[in-house]
Amino acid sequence: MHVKCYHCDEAIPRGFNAVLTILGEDKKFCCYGCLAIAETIVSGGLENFYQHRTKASEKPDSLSQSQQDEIHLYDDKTLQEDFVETIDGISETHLSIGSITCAACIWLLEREINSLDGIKQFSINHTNHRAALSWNDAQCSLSTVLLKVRKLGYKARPYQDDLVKRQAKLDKRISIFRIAVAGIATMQNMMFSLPLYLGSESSIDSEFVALFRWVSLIMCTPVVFFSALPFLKAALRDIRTRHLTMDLPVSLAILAAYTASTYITVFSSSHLESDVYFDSVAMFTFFLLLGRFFEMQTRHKHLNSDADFNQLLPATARVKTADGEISKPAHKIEVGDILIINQGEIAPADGIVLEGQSRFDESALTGEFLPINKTIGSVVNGGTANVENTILIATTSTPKHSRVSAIIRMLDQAHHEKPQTVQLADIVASYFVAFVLISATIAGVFWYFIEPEAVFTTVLSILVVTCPCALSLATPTAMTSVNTFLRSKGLLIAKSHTLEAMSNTTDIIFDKTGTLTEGKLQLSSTNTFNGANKSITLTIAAALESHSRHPIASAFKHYFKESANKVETTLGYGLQGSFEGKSYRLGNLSFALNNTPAKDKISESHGVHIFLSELSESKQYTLLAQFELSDTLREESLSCVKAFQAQGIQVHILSGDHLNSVQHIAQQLGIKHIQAAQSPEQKLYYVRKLQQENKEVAMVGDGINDLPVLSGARLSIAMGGASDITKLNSDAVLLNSHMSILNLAFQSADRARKIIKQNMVWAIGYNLLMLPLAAMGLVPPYFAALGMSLSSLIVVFNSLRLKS
Amino acid sequence: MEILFILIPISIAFVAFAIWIFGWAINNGQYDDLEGPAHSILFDDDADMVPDRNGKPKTKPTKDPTQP
Repeated sequence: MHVKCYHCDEAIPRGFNAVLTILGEDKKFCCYGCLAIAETIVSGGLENFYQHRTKASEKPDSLSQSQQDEIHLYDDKTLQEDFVETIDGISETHLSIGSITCAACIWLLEREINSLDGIKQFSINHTNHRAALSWNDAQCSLSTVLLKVRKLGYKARPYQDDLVKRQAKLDKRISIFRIAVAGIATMQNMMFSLPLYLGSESSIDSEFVALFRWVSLIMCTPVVFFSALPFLKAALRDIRTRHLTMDLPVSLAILAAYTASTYITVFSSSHLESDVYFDSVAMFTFFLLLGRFFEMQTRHKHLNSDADFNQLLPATARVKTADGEISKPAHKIEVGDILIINQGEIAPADGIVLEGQSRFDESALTGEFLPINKTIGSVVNGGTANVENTILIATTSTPKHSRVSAIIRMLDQAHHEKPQTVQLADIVASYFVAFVLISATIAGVFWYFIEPEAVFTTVLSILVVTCPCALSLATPTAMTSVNTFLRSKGLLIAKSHTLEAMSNTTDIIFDKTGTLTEGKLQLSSTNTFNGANKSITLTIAAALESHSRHPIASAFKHYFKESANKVETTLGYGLQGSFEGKSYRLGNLSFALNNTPAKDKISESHGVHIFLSELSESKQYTLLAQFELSDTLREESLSCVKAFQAQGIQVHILSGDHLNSVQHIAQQLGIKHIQAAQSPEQKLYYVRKLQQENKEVAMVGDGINDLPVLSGARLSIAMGGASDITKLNSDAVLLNSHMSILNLAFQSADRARKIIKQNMVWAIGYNLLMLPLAAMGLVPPYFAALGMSLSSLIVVFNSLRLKS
Repeated sequence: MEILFILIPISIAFVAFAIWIFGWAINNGQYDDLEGPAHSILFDDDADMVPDRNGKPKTKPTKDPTQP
């Protein structure tokens, strides 16, 4: 068992040693990034953070020079116009903060940022991780704050309000208000209905009965016409689209009970015989609203928090003009602008290379994990990262019309054609509603011929008695239990049809890069030659690679101790530099040996190989080590795939990467159905084809290129490392890298289905039993109320069994 | 018991007032963060203010930097 990093709780690589004394004890760290953050925290006197926090922090990315430059760009006044308000020298803005894992993170950030000079106020909202910042521009700059946040291991970027976010905020406020009104009215109504329940004909004067009823009516009216409005509107929509859901019986129950009680209050004599149901209406609405609110909260919580990060396209661009270099907000880029893209930056728009030569990491767009060569005339896609040299591109599109945006636009269409999962509850509800309405009509007609005065009361008592409380609770309570259980394991269920779709799945499709595999190059083996020491060769390699932004470099990050000098990059071949007085080369074989034939025996298997050589005094390069790098499988991929196959679910791989690497992975996992080198359109087509064969398809993916296919599949699951737009458009998000949770989720879905069925049988059985009794006028009101609560309680307890 | 005819309308007025206050608080953004306050109260740096055996604080409370 490895020792875990004190800061981020990840395993410490063997041979790495970084120690800091915190709270009187020596603590170990996994990388210099974590150590630097811990030092910042301790030097600020905030080491209590480590006692307060309830979850480990996220592993920090190192901040490159170009990222620092980008942060400094935010000090530009013209850029700030978009998001900063300045009044009397005090500037105000909102920031999105990323990587917050628990409440102690917020405490740490608030303490540290507020202690900076010139900061008036800095406070973070725990729910959406948005910070309100006001500062004195003369004393402090925005970039100072952003850099400080980065130094503590978090991310920050200016937050831009848009219509959708503003709408979401208003929606949340109004639903809280709806709940508040329903809650207050429920309490008041209970107070006034208690004497009516307990009192007898002799102990309570009829004038007071009338008073209590009228007061209850007043209290209940805003509940029905304000709090319950979402249900009523949904029910109207159901009728218009002829698609019956639970909203219709819920609205019917609310309206029927309210109308009946109002009728009794206004017209009937003030006797205790006929009962009013105002308290039930208010309470029913209150609990339903509360349930929906919690559901909405959990959906928004995880999806909102990091939603403003890892944006696909950068917010700023550097443009070369006749007068020199200027920086521009990305949305002002026009076709034909000449953009400068430095190493490590993301291209803000599509373009053609005008000058320079480099490589671009296109993994997010294509699934290919090795960077692609770009020379003069090559097409660069917006949203891909430059990993080597500065180049100039002439834009061929605005950011809005780039390839990335086009893929995102495919979303809407794919989503529109997504097969709908008809929920069990809705099917049952539509039959049930139809049944109740028909029996009420029949009973009404029947009574019309026997005793016309009794029609109204009988029909109403049928509608009230069959109030589908328990039925409407059957599905949501079971769903909530399973969702809570799965969330504690690390799978966030975002949409309500997910569990039902899981239990029907016949085919599951995995993306390769970043889903079945880790999605980044990792050192898979090291061979040493000529008596070299393994850990020393790793240190040298890390020292050289620290100058590179190539994805290969990140594989050596763990071994980094100090930087090498005089590092030169030979594009496409490797790096050369000196470390502790000696000169080294790191790159492909012919580069490392300076085109001399290799003397040592070298084995080449799958993956990327790079070689380290040392320049001896005789000006000869001698080979020291061979590093094999590959995109390795996730630990649990194999067991996850095997478990699905054992369940009888077909497993497919659908990847944008080359056939070779896809085959290599498929062989290890024993997957027969593979499709390689697929464009987003082809992926979507593949899923469509399967769905036309009546297969129920689930898709697991992470990249932008998976986005259309994720929204086209019946069920979509995004990996935690996926871009935010991908997560937002998926039905479920895997929050950690444990693939086996998917198996667990599919099993839980089956169990949930069983419990839901039991609940429905019970709820409907009870209602069916009461219906004829009510139609004959045999059910006393107090018994109906008691039975209704009892049957709902049974449903709730049955659902709670799912939590274990 | 006739007093109820006066008291109950008064109580309705109170309830209406309470709902109005609630609406004002919601619009004022006081319910935008439903979790934060529950946590932040626990994070006070009061280690140096906890009294020692003689019942005196170890040091004087320092200025809280989160307060402007």
